[in-house]
Amino acid sequence: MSKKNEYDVVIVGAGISGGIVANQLAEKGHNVLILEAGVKKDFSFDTYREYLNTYYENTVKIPNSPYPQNSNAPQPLVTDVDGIKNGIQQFNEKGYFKQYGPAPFQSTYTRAKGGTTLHWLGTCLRMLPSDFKEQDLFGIGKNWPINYYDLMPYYRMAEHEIGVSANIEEQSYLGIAFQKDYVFPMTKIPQSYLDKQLSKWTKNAVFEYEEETFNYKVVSTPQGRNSNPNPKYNNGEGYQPIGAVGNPDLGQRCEGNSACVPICPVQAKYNALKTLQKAVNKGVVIKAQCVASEIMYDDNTGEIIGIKYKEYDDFDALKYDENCFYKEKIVVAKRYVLAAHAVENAKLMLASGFKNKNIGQNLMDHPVLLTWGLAPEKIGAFRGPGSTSGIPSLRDGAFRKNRSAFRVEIGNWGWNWPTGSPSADLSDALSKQLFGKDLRKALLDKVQKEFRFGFLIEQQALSNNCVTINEQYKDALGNYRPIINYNITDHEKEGMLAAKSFSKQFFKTIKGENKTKYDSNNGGYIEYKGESLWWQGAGHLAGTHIMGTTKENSVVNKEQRCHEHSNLFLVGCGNMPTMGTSNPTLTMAALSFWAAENINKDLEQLKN
Amino acid sequence: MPSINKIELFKNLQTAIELEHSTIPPYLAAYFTINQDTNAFSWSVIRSVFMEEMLHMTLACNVLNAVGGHPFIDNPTFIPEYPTEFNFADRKFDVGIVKFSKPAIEAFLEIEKPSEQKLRVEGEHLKNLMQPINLEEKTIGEFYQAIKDQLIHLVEEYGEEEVFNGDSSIQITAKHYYGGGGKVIEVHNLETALFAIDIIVDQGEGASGTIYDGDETFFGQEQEVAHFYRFNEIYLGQKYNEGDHPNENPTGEKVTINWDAVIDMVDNPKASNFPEGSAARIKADEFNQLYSHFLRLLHLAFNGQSHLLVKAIGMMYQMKYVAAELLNCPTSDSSKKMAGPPFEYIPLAERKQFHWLVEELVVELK
Repeated sequence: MSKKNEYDVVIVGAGISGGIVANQLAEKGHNVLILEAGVKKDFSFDTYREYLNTYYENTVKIPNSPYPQNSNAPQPLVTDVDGIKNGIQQFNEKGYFKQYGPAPFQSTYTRAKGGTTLHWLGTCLRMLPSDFKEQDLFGIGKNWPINYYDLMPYYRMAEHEIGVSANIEEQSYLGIAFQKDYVFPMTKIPQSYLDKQLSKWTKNAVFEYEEETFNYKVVSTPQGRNSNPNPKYNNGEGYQPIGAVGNPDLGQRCEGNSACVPICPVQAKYNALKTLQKAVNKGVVIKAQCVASEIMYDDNTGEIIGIKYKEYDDFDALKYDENCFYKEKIVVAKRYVLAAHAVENAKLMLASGFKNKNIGQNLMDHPVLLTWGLAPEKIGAFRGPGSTSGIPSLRDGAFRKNRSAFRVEIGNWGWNWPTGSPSADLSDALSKQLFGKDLRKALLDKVQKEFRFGFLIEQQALSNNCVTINEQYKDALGNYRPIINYNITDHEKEGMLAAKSFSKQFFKTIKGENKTKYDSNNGGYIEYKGESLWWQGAGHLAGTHIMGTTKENSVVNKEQRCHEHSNLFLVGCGNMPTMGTSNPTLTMAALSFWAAENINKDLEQLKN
Repeated sequence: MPSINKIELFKNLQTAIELEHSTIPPYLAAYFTINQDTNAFSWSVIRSVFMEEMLHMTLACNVLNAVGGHPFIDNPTFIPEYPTEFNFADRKFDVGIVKFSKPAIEAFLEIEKPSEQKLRVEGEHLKNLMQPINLEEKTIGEFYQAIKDQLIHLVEEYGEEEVFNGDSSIQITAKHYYGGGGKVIEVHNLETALFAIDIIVDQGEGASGTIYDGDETFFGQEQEVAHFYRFNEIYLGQKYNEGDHPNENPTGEKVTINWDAVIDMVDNPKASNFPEGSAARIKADEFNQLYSHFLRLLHLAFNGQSHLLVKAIGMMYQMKYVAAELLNCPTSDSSKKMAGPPFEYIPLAERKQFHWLVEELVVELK
């Protein structure tokens, strides 16, 4: 076992990336320590239920609503984002981020064991082959130093680890290739009634835009959510779904609780606790309530010589007096891994005085354009996972030279995201003086026809979109708060125009009612070429320490090793030079498996 | 070649199916009358136990199907009339549809109590083999041991193929069954049949002289204590520690049991006891309809249409909702007691259509 405070590998962050790397390295027999900023919580189901109760009691059901704020490791909240006043985007002083705009950065993450996978939706799409070489193909964005085919075996590992449910025959589009005879671990999550109706109503429909005609199809979404195991998986070995941590019979299948974001009551949805549990069983040590504050390195060689962290005892740092509310400690290892999420990784490197100018730059999200309306008949809103199908057809094409691609996410939860329905519908009905049977009928008629689209607009890396730090902005433990500068470009706005047009045409095709109406006082509202647009954050944060070929153009090489610090690896979405139009978790998980392999090779070589 | 007389084997396996099922309504009644917030531990324990009983019932159906028999589920005698008497070798006791309480847990302990004798006695067993096993002279564990002996004897005499001549395509597999205490075993020969029966016994009574249920051996799952000991943990308000001995009290961490945070359900509710037209009566009738339809669906699933088992799960959720409504209905205007799920059988001819009824059953009603 490890000597006092010396490990083979120290990982900062107990999320999915850190969990995968830890689990893989422990499998190979290495001693691994994970430092986690969030509070100490065991893996029992009783403890998980505390999150559930917090969620039930919270009147505002934002993604971080089950996961209490912790002044020692603060989290950004969706409600921190301000609105627009007199046509000017406001940036308030509350909240963890210090934002300068010009556009509001609206995505959030969770600092706890399990990380953001606690509240994620679970969508697990692979990137397209084109997404890896956008600069070459479209003259925009960046090229990755690796390609889709390089990543294929790691995608399979990620799909295994997360437990992805999908039918392979539906998923080979726009160049996505699979190994011969590959099937996903579990068969697809049943598509919602809404999906099926939309599919029926748009058979043979086309989207016409800028003199191009596009065919499109409603396609089931691969997701990290338990479904029926596919007996053909893994050469006939099959697959055993992993239920709730600490309660394995629970969560063996999705039950349609419709609470996925922010928390699955039965853990049928994957969360990183499942991977962390395995890692811990193999001897990985997780030290929680330890916030990494500085990475110490040798000025000449760049070699990392230790990670300084602040270990806090009590939940609320603000309760302590000035003198001593944390203990500062140092941990030493042969290899170091930052897995604290894109923003925190960048912040930590900046706080440590890392020189690479790309650190913190190229911050990306998926701006999500929301549109919503009523189907021509009841479609059973508010049942099942947040989204079970989408329209991937516009994820690629020559048009990407001129405008962003987008993926269409079909929402099963009525207008919950854009308007706050069904509560909003209730308020609306009450203001019309409806009550009793009339109230119930009015609500049922409306709510049951509601659906929404989320258009995930691809965003490109821009050096001006960045995370920085400043002495003025620190948290209760004296660690830096991230400062965000962020904007979207015309390329993205053009993509939004196309998305809005798609939505209009779609509602017409299905003979539904388009009810999209943007409030100019909402943060994220803009006007472009005479059209009103409104976008929100998808919860995807990426690009802050991109992968590339040199230290001038990137922070890590294709091994995910820092150019300038050879014993430091970075994992997470921060490595991604482009986002494409897929939710990035699957790609990030694949990259994490690859990084683990590279770290293992290093450690094996050291032994010899 | 004379065909094998399997009648007694079929009868005993049918008894096994009915036995495993009979414990479920009482467990559900206790489960429905508490909630996850105020009695999280007990709620989890009872849930895990009845999920395993469902697995046991499924395993017993698989064994019966494997030997060419047919589970008979949709029939008036399938559900016992509660309170019902369990008549074992060493003890007799009543089990009813009652709210979560010390008497309820005492009854559950009685059901799951391990047999004193775990050793097989040569000769004596063989003598009785072709006689119907009268549960009155056995514990549950011994009853299953005798079925195992029957199977072994038949195979010795007639060969595996003749004994296990059932249609293998109708076996319930892991594809159709999940979340219930382990993977379901497809039965097609003596080894799998004996394995399936071992699971039933070990999860209930404990794996040979320990407090554990063998799930680690069977399923690679975390060590769980067997049903009897789980109920004991509730009864005594304390968990077992690794290494605790079956004959001693648990020495693990204490757990809080909120005996008061329980819906005051009337004992052994019957639909006809609630006034006509009352909410209690309407919902009780609906529950009985639902349960009877459900048994029909199980019957179809276990008799060749295995894909229907997944639809049965939807009906289980419906049961939860209707039970919750029932438990909110006072039994009469003046009473403080609440109605509850009666689990009474309604014959096919009297069943009605409901909005929650799956297509396959609607078709049968026409």
